[in-house]
Amino acid sequence: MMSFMAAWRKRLRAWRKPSWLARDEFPYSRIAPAVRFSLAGLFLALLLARAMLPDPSRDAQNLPPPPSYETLDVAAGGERATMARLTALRLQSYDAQSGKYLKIASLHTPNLIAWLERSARLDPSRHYPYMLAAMVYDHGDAQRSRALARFVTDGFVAHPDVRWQYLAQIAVRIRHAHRDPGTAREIAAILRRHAPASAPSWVRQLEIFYLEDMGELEAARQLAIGIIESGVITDPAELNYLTKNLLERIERKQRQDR
Amino acid sequence: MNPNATAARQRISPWPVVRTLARFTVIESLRSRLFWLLGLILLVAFGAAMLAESVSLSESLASRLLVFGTLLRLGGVSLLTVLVVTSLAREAADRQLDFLLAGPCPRWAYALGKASGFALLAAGLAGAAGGLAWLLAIDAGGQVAAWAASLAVELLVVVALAMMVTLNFGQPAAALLALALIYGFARAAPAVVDMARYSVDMQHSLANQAQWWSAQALSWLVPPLDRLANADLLTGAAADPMTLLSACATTLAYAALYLLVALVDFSRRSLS
Repeated sequence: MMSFMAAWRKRLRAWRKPSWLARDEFPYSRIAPAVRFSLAGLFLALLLARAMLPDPSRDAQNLPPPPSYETLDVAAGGERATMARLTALRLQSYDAQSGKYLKIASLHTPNLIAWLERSARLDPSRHYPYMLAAMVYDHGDAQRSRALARFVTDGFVAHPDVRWQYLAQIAVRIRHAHRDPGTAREIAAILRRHAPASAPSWVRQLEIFYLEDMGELEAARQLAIGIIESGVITDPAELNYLTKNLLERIERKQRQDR
Repeated sequence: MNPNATAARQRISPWPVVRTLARFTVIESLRSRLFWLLGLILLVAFGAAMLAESVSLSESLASRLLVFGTLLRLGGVSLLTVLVVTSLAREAADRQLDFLLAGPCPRWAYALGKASGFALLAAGLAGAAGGLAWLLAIDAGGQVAAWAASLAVELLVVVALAMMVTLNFGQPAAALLALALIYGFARAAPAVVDMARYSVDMQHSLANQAQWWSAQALSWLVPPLDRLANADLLTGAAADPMTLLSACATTLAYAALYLLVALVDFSRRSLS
């Protein structure tokens, strides 16, 4: 065992850097001890100081307003897609600031919307900020949800293909978490008008349910008939559900009201 | 080593060498059209500031000062970086360095002499920038002196950093690239650390912690430049003097650290 270790030690001592890696250098022992020790001491002291002392500028601050669109545009230097993503990522870091977590619900809503809008405007083809709006930042009061709904609605009308799901999610949350069927119905109407053919049919029917909720039975009935007659729905089971279940239920309620 | 030469080195005081080197570093930089370049930078910054002011709908004075301060800061850093890197690289390539070190000039005296010369230039640049900023900010009530002083500190750390990478790499291209990366990271480090704090698919996991720790550790290797020489000092935005002072002190300590690293690398290099 000993001889094995000794052999290895000998081999290690004999090892030289390969020629392409080696530089003609003097050993560290040639450096004056004062320089060596002050370098090591200063390095350790700086590391300790940075680790121990709090960083004064990084106190958990509520979300500040974002830089203006023009500033970001100039700073992007043509790389708008990258800047859009970085803006969104920077926004995300505000609820997880160094060691101090801010609740998402406590973020300043107008500034939050401004950050999302910057990101969306820098790269209008991406869905990321709308996803963030619906899935991450829709926490807190009804006012936050309504502001996010306005933001997502604008994006949805421009690109309905993927974004219908984000708007639908906010509509459902406004209806059920904040008990605000009026706003939910307005969003559902926008969804019905602009939803792409690829979206499931319940997206177009959401407005009927909300109208029914609000007691506007005649409007709900007319809308259901309109959807059936428009021929958008081709699935026989779904048509059957709409006529037999939904329409008949609404008409039954209307008769009871009278 | 020749004992006579060693004895001669010990007899001759190196301080005149330091002074002479500092003086010639300044003269060399002035002869490489420093005034013209500085004038060009001031002119561009002034023109851009006036443009920003004329197109601003409100707070036009603040727009002028912010653009001016930011451009001067960037221009000063770039100008000084290029000066340091080219000067050191040229001396090494021309074999002037070998010639100098063959005489009674210890390596630390060479490093200190060059560093002092560049530090004088840094102070001069910050002074010129501060003077013009004072003229522009005369009715904004900004803290021009604080801005100029912290700009001088930033330029000083840039000098130390440039000396470190140039003496280590030897190649101007590699040195400039490394400088751009390190400087950019130093300006953005706190934001990068914040972003590294949170990752979606590995929240509170060891990998996430490691990611955050490594970002944090990297940020401790660079001075807190994000808190230094910010142009909003010029607009009269109330800056906490203690924050600025501590940032300046920390940055000066980093400058000393980089100079020591440069000296160690330089002392180990064999010039034969």
